[in-house]
Amino acid sequence: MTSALHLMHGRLRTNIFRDEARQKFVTLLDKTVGTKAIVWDERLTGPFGLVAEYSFLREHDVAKMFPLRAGRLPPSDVDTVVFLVRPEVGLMELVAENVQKEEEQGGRRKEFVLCFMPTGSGACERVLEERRVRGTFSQITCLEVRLLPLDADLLSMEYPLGFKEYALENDPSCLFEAAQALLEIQLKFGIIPSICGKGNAAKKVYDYLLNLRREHQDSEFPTVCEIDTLLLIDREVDLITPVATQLTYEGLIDEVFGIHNNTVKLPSEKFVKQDGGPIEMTNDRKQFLLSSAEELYADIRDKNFNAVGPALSRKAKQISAQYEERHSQSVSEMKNFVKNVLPTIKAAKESLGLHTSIAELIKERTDSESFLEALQTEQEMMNAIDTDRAHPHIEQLIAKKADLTRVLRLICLQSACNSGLKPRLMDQYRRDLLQTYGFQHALTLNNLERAGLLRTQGRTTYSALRRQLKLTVDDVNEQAPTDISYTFSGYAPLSVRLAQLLARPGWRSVSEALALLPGPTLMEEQPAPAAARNRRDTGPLGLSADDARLTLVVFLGGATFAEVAALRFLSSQEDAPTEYVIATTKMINGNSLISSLSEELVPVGGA
Amino acid sequence: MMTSKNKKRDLFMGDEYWNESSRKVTPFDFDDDTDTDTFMTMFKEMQVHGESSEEDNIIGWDGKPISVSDSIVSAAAAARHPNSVSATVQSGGAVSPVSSPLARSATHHSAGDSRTISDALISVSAAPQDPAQLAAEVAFLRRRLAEAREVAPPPADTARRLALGEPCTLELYRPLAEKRQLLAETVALGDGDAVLVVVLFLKRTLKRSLFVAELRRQPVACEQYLAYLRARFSHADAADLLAMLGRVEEAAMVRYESAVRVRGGVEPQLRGLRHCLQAHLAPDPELALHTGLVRQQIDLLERQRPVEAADAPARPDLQLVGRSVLSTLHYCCLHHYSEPANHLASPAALRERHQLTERQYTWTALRARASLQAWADVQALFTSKTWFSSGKLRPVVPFEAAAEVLESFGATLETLSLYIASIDGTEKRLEHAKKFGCYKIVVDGYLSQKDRVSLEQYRATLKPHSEAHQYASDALRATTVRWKN
Repeated sequence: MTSALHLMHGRLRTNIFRDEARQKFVTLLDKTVGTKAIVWDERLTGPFGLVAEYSFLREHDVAKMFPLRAGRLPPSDVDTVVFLVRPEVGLMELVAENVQKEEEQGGRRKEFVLCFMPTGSGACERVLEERRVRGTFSQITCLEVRLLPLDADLLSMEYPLGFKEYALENDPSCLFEAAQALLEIQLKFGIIPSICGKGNAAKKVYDYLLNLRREHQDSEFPTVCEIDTLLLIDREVDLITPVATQLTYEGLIDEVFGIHNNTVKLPSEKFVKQDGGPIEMTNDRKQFLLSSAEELYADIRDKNFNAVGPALSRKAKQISAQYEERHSQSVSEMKNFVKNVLPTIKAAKESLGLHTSIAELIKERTDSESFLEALQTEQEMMNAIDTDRAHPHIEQLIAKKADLTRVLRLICLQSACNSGLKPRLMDQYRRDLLQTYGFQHALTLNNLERAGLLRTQGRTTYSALRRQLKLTVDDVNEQAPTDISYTFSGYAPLSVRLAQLLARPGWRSVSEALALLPGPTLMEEQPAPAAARNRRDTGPLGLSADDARLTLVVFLGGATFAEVAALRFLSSQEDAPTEYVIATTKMINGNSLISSLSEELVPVGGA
Repeated sequence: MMTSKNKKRDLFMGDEYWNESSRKVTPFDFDDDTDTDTFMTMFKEMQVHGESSEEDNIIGWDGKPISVSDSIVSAAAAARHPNSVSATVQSGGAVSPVSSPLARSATHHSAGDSRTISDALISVSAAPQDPAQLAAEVAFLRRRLAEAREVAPPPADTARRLALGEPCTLELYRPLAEKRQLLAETVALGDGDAVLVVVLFLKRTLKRSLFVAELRRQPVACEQYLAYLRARFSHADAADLLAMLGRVEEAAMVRYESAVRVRGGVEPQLRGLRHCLQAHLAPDPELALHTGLVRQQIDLLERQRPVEAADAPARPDLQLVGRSVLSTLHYCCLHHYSEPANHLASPAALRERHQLTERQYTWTALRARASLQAWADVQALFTSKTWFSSGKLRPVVPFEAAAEVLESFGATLETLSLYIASIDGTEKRLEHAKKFGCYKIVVDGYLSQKDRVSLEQYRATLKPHSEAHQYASDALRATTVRWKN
């Protein structure tokens, strides 16, 4: 990412986080001597791509970069080796092995630096001690980067397995980090006076946040509160939305190709002619950067996919109309046209070409019978039609040995929409899955059960929730939406519905529904420092007094692009009671959620 | 974040304090009032542990923390590198010296050296010096004094320092009650890593039974420790712990996991699975579901091995072991379709052993036989074998789905028609017939409905002069039909 201009146009100056991360990275690099090799925890390269590019690293003496793997490091002639990792015990074995092998090998003496992101870990260091390599490191340090801006209104912690950690392993680290991140936000944008939330994780983050705030004096917080409300949503509260198929443009790109840290890799044969898209070719895939820096993308990413085609053709007409204008111009106007207008037209054309190609690729998928059938199944489930029995479509997918993650997503959706599966049905699915895909998947099913994505029938809640929160909407307008249910063509994401109802008319109106959802409900006021003033009271420069309120919605355990789209939709409404900025532990979709809970096991014969 | 803040506060409170040298307790701690208490508690503890024998020693030492700070040079040194995260959070060497010199210093004190840091500081400040240098000196000494305070911080304090990644010493917590409190405080703060550090400290310093009892009191800490064990592949320890906690099913799953994670081929894995089954699963009736599944898995592996060995000469790249039940069935349907039921590779035997449903079996056999274009076998799958069979095909698998499979393996129109014609419901039948190009079924369908308009429309979609077109035209010309439109 070479430019971060688009980050500055939102309600919060999210570019601050980018600049700060960059600065911290530089400080880390410049603290070590000589040429450096960075050994990356591979999950960190993407997030760092958001703040720094390779050329930037080269300027700071980074000569080599390796992924963290078992065994020996590839040979390199550097002075310092920097390991940049998440503080996970499992990774330490790899680090230890790397260092040991490097030492055994002898040769030129290298310095080793271990850097954790975002914070250090005593447990990890203990592992290094046990492996007798702790002393080998000249420095063990940390890079306190918690929030990365994906867009002007979207921050992500890119915390890899947050949901798994707290839902499955009961490890609150992710939530603690989230609380720290929220503290950072408040240190930059002021104390947030009102804090609401739903779910166990929300309560924990709230408690941690209060604890952390006590470490700081009021004077350390800015005097102007830029954010009015903080809404904490535990992913556990809404496990329907992430397993359903997202139907917005960006959501579908993510479902079909996967968006990681704003980049998507697409089959390159579709994109041979133009070279507008940034960066390199990787084998048969081409990489593209997607962000609101691209005007057209900002315009269409949150639309229902069915509305993207018309939007693209409108844009095409608009461009050619602009281009036609040149005929009726004087010479001086012409000159201006060539100099100023033409380049923008050219860029717009390129962008149009790119998205037309992407939309075609996606249409191939959405027109396929398997997609349509799966979608129909999903819609039936959300409308609570026949969710009590083994669904014929699921049975058929298993019989065809379709992709396991797909099948599990549907079963999890059925479980959610039926308030849990009947024990007999659960056993039937289990047997069917294990016999088709292999017995070792018993572990994955077990994980899904423990995390609450699969459960046996308990209290029936879904039908009441569906009614009270209007989760399903019959006449949905995909072209000119009037309700957030457009994001799933008829289903309104529960999480965002909660956000919407909080702003208007308030949660008291749906207290029954809130009681049906898991975990405590939070509605707290946070006393602001005495010196702090509300933004609206004073109307500082650049902000008029009637500026809309601002709500920070935090998804604990991950958010989907469709949810982001729905919140942006709410922000953009003319009579919107509040605008939204969004923070999440990670961007997720159904596939990544399920696979984060899956145990990857190689069947014995393949080993 | 913390350190900078402390500095700030230190500077702020400085003058006020240093002029008040008679104060017994260092004032620049975080929660001022708790301090005295803790010092006292600690001394009481020391008495309990017999590390300090005389009350007056303790009192004499109180308020003169300088000598203690001497003994904590290692901790202080570590603290000077704020980036070496929790340099002292580790076990053993770096930290343990802290506690033993403590007792020594206490006795040492009564011997007469009454100089405290504040005393030393006054003499230093008497000399005219560069203010900046002076400030640095003050800061340094204060930090050492702060370190001295660490000798007996309240558990809440230590928990917070752990969570913020600051150096601190756990070894000072000796009595069980304090350890328990430390764990509780750390859990309340929420930093998983800090919790784990405390848990590991407890594990090191407590009897196993006590350790487990503590984990039982703190579910969060317990889960954290279990996750740690799993991440380090100490499955046996994790399972033992779970069993001790009475979480039988989870223990079984962990044992199962360790069995399937065994590397090195089938034999060790089979051994692991058998052991897991006999020792942990089978005795517990509550685990019947898992027991049955693991039995199936073992039986499957035991079946796959000899079949693979026998077939390997003919098919060198055969890889059967490790495949799923249905994938194995697919293989058997391909290559051993007609083996008798007592043969290991017999599809029927496999079906029997794993209690496959008719649907599961038919789907798999259908695909296997269709791929060999053994159409007769496929038909047999759909034909009822009872005496009273009407000869009609039974929809074991939906006919349209079957047709799709057959078409993908190149079945002729004639073969396909057999299945399409069996679809119930005219509408649906015609729809699929059109899709697969079974024109006869379409035309005959419209004929029987006497629907001339639809038939004409259909004919328009066909290629002129093709066989299908001809067939439709013939039908439309038929004079015997009384069209309804």
